[in-house]
Amino acid sequence: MANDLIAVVTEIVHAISRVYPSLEVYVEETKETGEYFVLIDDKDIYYSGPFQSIVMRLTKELLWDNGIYNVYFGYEDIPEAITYEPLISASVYYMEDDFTIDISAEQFKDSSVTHDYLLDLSMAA
Amino acid sequence: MELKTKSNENIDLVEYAILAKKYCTSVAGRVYYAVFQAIKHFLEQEGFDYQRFLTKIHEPDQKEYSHGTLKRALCDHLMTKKLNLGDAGKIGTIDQLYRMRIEADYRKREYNEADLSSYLRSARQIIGVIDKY
Repeated sequence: MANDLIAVVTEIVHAISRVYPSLEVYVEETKETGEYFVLIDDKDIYYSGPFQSIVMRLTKELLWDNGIYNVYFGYEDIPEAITYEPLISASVYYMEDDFTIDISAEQFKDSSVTHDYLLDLSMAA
Repeated sequence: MELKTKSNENIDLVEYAILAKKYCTSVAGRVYYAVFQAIKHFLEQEGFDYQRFLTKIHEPDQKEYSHGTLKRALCDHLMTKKLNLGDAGKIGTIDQLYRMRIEADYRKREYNEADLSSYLRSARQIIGVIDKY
């Protein structure tokens, strides 16, 4: 994984961990295709609106805006099923000062904030 | 055969496996393909120019309809139809279907009918978003 991609993915892992501190967040590499999955260990949270809102924001601002199209988001609730050794783990790299995205759990509980974000999500421009 | 028909047939196939409690791992990848085909059919019906889109996002050499750009292509197009954040989030869950396909087709992971039912619900949600717009 290139250094700039590591920096972006690490930032994503930290951002998710900040909002959901109890989650295990890690990155799995699909070596056959050169793709990466940011995985969490909770299926219910993964399918929740607030989590997917965060994912969409991170995807837009950190991935697409930086021309990154090989990093995806998923869940794995059976740890022994992880095929590869996780590349990045929130617990190893956690450094709060590194955060550059201001996302909090409270912010995403406020539907008006997510609505404002949608208006700001000018992907079609 | 139209892609939308293929999508529906893949959904039917997965439903069959769930009911029969057989072949669940073998057909798991069909869940992803059902969504992929529905999205591709939708974008083509809408006259979406994928190559132009790839050029716009500075990725002209990317393969059309690759998973990496598919989600953005769909979101970009639906933004012109006032896509809301909840629906955008549902579209995002296609990543998990893609991972499941890789696990089912290329690795030793096995899936049962409960797993397939869960993924099928997710697929129907995504296809439901497409149908809504």
